[in-house]
Amino acid sequence: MLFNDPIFLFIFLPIVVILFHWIRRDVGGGASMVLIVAASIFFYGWWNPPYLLLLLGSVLFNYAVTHQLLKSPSRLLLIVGVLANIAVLGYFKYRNFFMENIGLLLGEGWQFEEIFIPLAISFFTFQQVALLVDAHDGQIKRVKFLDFATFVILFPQLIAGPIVLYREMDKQFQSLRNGSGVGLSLFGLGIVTFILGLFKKVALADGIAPFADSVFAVADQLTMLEAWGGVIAYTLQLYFDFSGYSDMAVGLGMMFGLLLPINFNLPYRATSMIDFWKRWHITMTRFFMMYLYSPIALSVMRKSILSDWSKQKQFLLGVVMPIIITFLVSGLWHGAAWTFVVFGAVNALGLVVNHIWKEWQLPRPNIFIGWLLTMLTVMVSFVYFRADSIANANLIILTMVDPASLIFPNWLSYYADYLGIPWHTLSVFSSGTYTVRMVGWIVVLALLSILLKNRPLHLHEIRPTVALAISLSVMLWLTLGWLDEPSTFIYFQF
Amino acid sequence: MENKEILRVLIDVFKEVFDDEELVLTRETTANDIEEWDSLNQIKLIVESERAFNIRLRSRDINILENIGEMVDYLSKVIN
Repeated sequence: MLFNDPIFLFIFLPIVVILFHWIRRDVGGGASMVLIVAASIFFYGWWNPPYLLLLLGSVLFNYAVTHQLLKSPSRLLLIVGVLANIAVLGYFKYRNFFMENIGLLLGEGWQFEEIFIPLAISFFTFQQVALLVDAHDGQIKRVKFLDFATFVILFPQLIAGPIVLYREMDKQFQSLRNGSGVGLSLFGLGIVTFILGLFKKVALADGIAPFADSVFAVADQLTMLEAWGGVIAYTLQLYFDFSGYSDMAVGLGMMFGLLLPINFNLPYRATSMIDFWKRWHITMTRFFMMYLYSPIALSVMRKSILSDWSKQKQFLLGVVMPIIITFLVSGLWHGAAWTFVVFGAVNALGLVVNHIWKEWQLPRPNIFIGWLLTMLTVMVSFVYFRADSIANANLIILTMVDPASLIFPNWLSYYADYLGIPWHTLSVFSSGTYTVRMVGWIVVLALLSILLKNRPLHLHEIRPTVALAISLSVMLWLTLGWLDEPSTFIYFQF
Repeated sequence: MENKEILRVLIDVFKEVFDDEELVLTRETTANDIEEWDSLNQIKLIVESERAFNIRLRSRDINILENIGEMVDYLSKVIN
């Protein structure tokens, strides 16, 4: 079941919401949490019932470990617990990748039977690993099983995040239990946010997707303008797909009176790589910063001060190395393929350059140049993210910068001749109407991407005005009209 | 150590890390208020705070503090 599924929207969701609040009011907060867990289990099981055992097994195992860690924090137990989680994730997601590459190194062409990756495994693994660490640290004092289960399985965020920290939900669950929670007061905002998210996904992301697809499908037949068009289109598609999903998750949470954390904050307004990663997939960045980057960087920095290293050495080992490690891992987290590793590497490189610039106090580029450089770096990384192979990604990027690839379409032959540029019948820009439509989509979505604010920030700006009602109606109308088109969320494969 | 004293020492640490003698901090100041704040400076702040107060900190505990006031309270707990 996906959020844009009619079964979810018109049957599952209304029933669960009504039951939830009714039970919350008439029976108790705890009982309503049981309902949510049950509904979430149903939601997850709808996709593939056998893997439900994996999810539940994971929850039980981690709860047991957490319980023990809270009683007596043992480093060994923590390491065993974390490794067990990562091993399961590693097996399902990375076994083939790992083995095929070892095979390549040994000169063997091993092929493995495809393992079906359990839905959401990357997300629920990470959320629980963070919880284990927090339990060991004493960040969390006590956890009831119901709270733990709700935290992990909550269907709004189970499938593709946001990656929630237990401490963000702890008090909310307590309030829910003892009746002092927000109840229905966020319901209206939740609906608005959900509709906005659904619109971003079904109308915007899915609307521009075919244009991006048509370019990435013919990586070896592209010209410069087509390549740029496709890459920009995909950049917009990815943002609206994922931030739309995140908005939906937040909106759903609010319908149940729960506030989930922000995951995007107008990333395409970023004027530097550092700024970008504070705005894109915020909860993932937060996770990696807290549990991977900072511990490494901190140990290195402490050592560097004790041993009095030079500034360069301190920077190299205390900044560059942790950033590269963190982003290669986060790249790989997205998928078991080298393209994702390169995606991470490109971002790591951009960040390192950004930090070097700041650290050595080089002159600040003006805001527009900063924005341009950031967007270019990010778009290049997205080419690797999207392409089906590194070779194709390289091809597309080369096409984007190679002057020889600048070939006009035949329907612009008059202008091409005037400018002395070669022209041809192109594969993607084969017709003027198609191209104009694509450009139209790009322009509109680019504007929306920097104007439409993300939730749950700026919630107070959402006022019940006529303008809002009309916009929501239009969005809903467009969205419902497009619901029939089959699609999925890009981040579901993670 | 009194909170006022902690805040004073902390301000010195911040001035050192951000290389800004004019830096003004109040209990309400957040990371968003200081433009130069990023993951690298965060690490430097932690390391320098550890040296200034002679304590050991954990980045995970610092990362989730909302503002300077919370940081002072947290440091107070660790020191005392």
